[in-house]
Amino acid sequence: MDMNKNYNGKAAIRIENLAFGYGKPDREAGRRQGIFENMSLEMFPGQAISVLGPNGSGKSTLIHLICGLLKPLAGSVLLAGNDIAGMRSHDIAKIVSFVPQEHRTAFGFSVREIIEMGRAPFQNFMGFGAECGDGISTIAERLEIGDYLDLDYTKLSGGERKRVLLARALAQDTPIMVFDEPEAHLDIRLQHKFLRHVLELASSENRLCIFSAHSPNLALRYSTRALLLGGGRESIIFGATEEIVTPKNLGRIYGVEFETVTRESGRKLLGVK
Amino acid sequence: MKTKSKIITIAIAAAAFLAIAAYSVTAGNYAIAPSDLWKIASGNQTAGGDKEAFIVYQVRLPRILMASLTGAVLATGGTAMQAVFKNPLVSPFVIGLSAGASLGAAIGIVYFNGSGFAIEALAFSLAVGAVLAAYFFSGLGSDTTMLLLFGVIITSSAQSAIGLLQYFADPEHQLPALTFWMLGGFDGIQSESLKYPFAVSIICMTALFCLSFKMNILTMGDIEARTLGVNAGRLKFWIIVLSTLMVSSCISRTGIIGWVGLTTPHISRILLGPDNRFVIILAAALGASFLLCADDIARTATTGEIPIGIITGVIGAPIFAAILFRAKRSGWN
Repeated sequence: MDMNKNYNGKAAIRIENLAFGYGKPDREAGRRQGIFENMSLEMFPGQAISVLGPNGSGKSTLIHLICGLLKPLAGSVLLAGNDIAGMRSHDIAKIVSFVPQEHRTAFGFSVREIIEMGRAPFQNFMGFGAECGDGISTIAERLEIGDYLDLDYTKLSGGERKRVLLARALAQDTPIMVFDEPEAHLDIRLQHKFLRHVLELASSENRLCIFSAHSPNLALRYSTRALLLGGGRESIIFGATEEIVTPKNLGRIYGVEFETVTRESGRKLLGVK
Repeated sequence: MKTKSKIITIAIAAAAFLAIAAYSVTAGNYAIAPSDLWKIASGNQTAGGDKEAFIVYQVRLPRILMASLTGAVLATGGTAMQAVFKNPLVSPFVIGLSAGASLGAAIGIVYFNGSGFAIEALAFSLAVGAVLAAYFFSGLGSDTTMLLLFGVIITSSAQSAIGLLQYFADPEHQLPALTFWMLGGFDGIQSESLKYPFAVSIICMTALFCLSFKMNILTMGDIEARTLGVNAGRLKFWIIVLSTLMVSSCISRTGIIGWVGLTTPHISRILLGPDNRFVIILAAALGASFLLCADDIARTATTGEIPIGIITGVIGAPIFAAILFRAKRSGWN
């Protein structure tokens, strides 16, 4: 939570010739059905990057690859210059935090205990040292869950649980933060609040934030760069959000026609024609 | 719940265990006056003479130690396996352990003349073998549903084989021996029988305690555990190995004893909340106390010996029903 932390370098991700696919190898091509092939791109501290694409285009897959949860078929993901494939979960977790789409557990840990788990990568094997301490209340207040700290996590609503998971990632306090569909399970006000927060984590704390999204308008508003998947397995569209999230590109990856609407406030919105 | 009150709860449970253990030394067909306990412990003569010291050191203490150890082991194993399966309805027997052990004992009884060594060695090997088979068939436990289902397959295959052995067993001696083995019991435990179960179990329980914080993280799910720095696959492997080794080392000697591993972790969570660092210790104390009480009933309720599995079932089932009714209202804590 140190606003002046220097995450430069540490937060850079370089993806080199990445290939990934699921299922059985394709007999004719002699390799697996690919989602990605030859994907190469670089991400830097201070960027908020949205990942857009239709269902099955590999948004979650890419996010899992960046967190080191999947092994690429070819190519590599480099975290601050190190190949993630050779890193231990313990060391990855000090650099990358992950906020899942949805999460349930049968065991009724308190909200405080769940948030405190974000400190695990920095603690000893029994979970002592490097605790959040009072920091937990500050984080919880920021996310409007300050009153829930002693409640049973399993009794909360989906949106409340989501904010607890964001709080846990903030406690983890990593230079790279990854979010799988942050808008899911949140009401409209909280969607905006949550994503504004994500953008701030990037712009004012110089972290690298990556989130997958379904809404191009949330991507337009809360990301500095956008990555569009689904335009064919060897072609990704990646660049400054304003230049990338356009009716033409969206039409190409989703297969429906988009148009731009300019609202009274001057803000542009994208919608399906 | 504050850490301090958790520690106090654990201390009370430990004190209760010691009191039950002390009572267990005095109770039995040959009653020993509580006032004589101190005399025997300090090596002084009592009214009963050498006989009392012999009963305490050669008969009751080994049995009390084994019952306590087995209770603690089953409870610790239950707590750990519940973290692996992220499910509070799991016992240490869930992936084939008890069926494998029973099959081993059945082979020992039917084909090796019921030799104590053969029964114990076969029960231990097949218990461990059954769990490892389920673990490897399921693809190293990466999908716990698969692990559970392969456990079911291994269990029912082993049960068919046991059925076949029962069919061929001599009904005069072998069949009753097998039946009693599968109901468990601490009769005939001597100090020599304690050596291996104690060595294995103390090491495994200590190691599981050292993994208890990581178990907390593991209950969040494998993917999240990994993004929080815990290597979920490796952790699950070690929990399964440690739990299986210690549970097998005890029950290959005592026979199958149900319910302890299922109920005591629940009661511990109700008292302390879900933090495994505390739950695992309290469960061990409660498991030891539970099995010690059950064994006291087994050896003192009648002039003979009631198989302990019957008693743990009679006590455990209603306790578990009460826990479930409570869970229906207010969740698992």
